Amino acid sequence: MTKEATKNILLRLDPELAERLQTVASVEGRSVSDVAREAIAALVDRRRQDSRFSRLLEENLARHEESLRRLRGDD
Amino acid sequence: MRYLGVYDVLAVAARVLRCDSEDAVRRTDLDAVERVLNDVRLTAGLAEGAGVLLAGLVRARAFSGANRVVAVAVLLQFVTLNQADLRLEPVDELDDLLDRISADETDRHEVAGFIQARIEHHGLTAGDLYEHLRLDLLLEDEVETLHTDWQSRGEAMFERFNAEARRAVVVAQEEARSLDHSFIGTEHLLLGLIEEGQGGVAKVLSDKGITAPAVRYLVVEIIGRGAHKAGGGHIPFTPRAKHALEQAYQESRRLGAEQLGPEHLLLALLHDGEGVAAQVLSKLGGELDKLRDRVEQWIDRRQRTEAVVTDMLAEDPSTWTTYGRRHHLVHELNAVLDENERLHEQVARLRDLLRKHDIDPDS
Repeated sequence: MTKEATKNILLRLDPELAERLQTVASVEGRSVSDVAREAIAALVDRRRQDSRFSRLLEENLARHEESLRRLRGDD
Repeated sequence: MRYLGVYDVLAVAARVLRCDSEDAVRRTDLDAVERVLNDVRLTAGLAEGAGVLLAGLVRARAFSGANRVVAVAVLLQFVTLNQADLRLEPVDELDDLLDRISADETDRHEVAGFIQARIEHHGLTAGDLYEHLRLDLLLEDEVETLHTDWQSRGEAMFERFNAEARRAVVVAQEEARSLDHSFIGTEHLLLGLIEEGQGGVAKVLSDKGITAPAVRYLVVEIIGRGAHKAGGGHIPFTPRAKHALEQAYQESRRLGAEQLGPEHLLLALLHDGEGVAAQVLSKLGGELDKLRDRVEQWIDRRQRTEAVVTDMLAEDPSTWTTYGRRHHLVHELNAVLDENERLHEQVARLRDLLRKHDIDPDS
């Protein structure tokens, strides 16, 4: 992972949540961004474990694999 | 319409980029994704929503590495979750469109038109019907318990539920299951009302920014997801949800309605100021009393509209020259009444705007 590939987290947080993140970050000696990223990743993991969502995604990617492979890149 | 949330998009990105979730978060411009998803929620149809989604993600270059492929995969997932499929071939034409989106040389209407021409809606499959029937049957057990409960008190409540209200209750159970909750609470009833989506209740809510993704997000924030996958069995109502159903029955009687509809369920959720649904409504829609006023205004207008149409239909048929003319006039009348309702809403919005600027609209 290159440094350029990392996007900043600019999610709008309510003050109470931001304060809780700040507390966790300072106790664990990490940046707020790190803690927020980890929390978001945990929620994404849960989404990926949703069987219907995953099944539809896998079916989609399999059905359109060839078309997706031939798409031009824009990066 | 089933809208995507940020976590849905990140889950697709992680799968396409073949990375773990944390990596996907690092490689995604979350702010851009949120902006795009909010824009999608303001659209009406699937093609328009899909167009805004694709154009927004491509233009924002929301994903580092393979942005275009991830954006198209997110689009496919959005379309599929809404019971349709999208034809990507010929890929050259899609690439040309994406080039023009990147160069800002196209508008949302063109993108929506492109997608509209390639969308194939799924018919209902036997599996869909089975699943629907299974959910209905499971819910029936729970409803039967309530039914017996109310019948023993001489109140034939469930006979009064109209088709939309029944569907909203079925969807509430699906929502509870998808959040791994082992109960149906007021929050699931609220989601059921929004996702059922027929009639004015969903519109009153969406006008206040109360959409299903926003509600789900707050529900997860307030009570979290369930710790375990909800099984396929019986899901009971919470006492508060049972009370809301009873209250909805009282609301329908108070307003003299022949049937209990989604609007009475919403009034019941607003009546209970302390349930999770009320908390969510308060957080997203502001003061509960004002929201309640809006719902009651909508009910009042709808009742007057129905009364006029009913009176007209009850007139002596000999006064109508032909069936065709009668049909045409009723259609015209409905159109005028719908327009009237739309104008009422516009006036209400303008009055709100004036009040926000400290101008008394009646002065």
